[in-house]
Amino acid sequence: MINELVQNLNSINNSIEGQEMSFVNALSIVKLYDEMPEPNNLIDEAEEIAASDIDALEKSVIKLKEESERFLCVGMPMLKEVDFKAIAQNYSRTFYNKFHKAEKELTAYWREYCQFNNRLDYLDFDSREYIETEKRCEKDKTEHDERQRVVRELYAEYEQANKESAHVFRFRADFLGAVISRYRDIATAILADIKRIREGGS
Amino acid sequence: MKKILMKDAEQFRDTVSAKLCNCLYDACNEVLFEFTTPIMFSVHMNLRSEHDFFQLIKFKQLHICYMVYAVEKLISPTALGKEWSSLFLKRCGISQTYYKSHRLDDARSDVPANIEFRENIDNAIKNWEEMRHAPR
Repeated sequence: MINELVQNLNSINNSIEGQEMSFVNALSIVKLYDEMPEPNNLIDEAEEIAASDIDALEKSVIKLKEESERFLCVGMPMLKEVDFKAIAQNYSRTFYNKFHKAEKELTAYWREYCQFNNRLDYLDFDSREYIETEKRCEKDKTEHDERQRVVRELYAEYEQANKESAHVFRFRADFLGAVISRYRDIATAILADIKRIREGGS
Repeated sequence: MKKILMKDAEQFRDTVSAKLCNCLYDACNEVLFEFTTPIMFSVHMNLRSEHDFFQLIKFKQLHICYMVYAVEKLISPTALGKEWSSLFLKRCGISQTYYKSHRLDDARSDVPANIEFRENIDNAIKNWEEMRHAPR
């Protein structure tokens, strides 16, 4: 768990320091945060490993302390500038706009179809105009149905984007900071414990 | 009894876990307590500071009782949960008698503000539980 956590912290640090914060980037940070263990679990694991391989524990914990400090010194100030709410809103808005545009266009097709369909009621059933209008009607209905399918797909995409963006919307850099500063404190304490054990203290 | 090797590290063990505190933060900050940061929220929830505590917002005792009751149930072992709730309530100036008779008032209430608070706390705990069970 500690080694995996070190890798995740490393990914977070690289992604903050590397580039401007995109939605994908923000979402990956949120997912990594969700997967992070409770700080208490680190103490349990350290207790277990200390009894079997104290050198391996020390190596992992030194890295954990380094990555935590790197985040708190470099990453955290950068992350505090990031507006997660705005990133989330912009992301879902892009999908909403696509859906809204397609839905608006769909209405025009439906109106046209209704217009021709109503005209049929006033035409002679065997007339040439009736046959042509009916064909036009069917064509418009087919076009409308196809576009309606696309609109439904776009709505589903918008809903999915909304779900994903909700995680980013609720996220705060401070949450990550609170947990990682706990990791740093625990890592420092574990190193002190390792030193004490090596010196033969109880 | 098993010998504890990580004695220093044990001092940093949270009673109310750090990620649970983060989940509860939005439901409690500036609702039960005056503004505080997520780090200080976690410090106060765990009663880590002897001299400093949340600045309570007036007339929120019922909400505090509901939050404490919801959190107490999540703490293991049960005795630790009871000890935590008793110390936390003491800091809030709420007696055990009041807590025992009012801790479920919000759960039974149909007042919109109480329903909203109850749902916020319940959702925060649900989010935390989902996070704990998320595939690693």
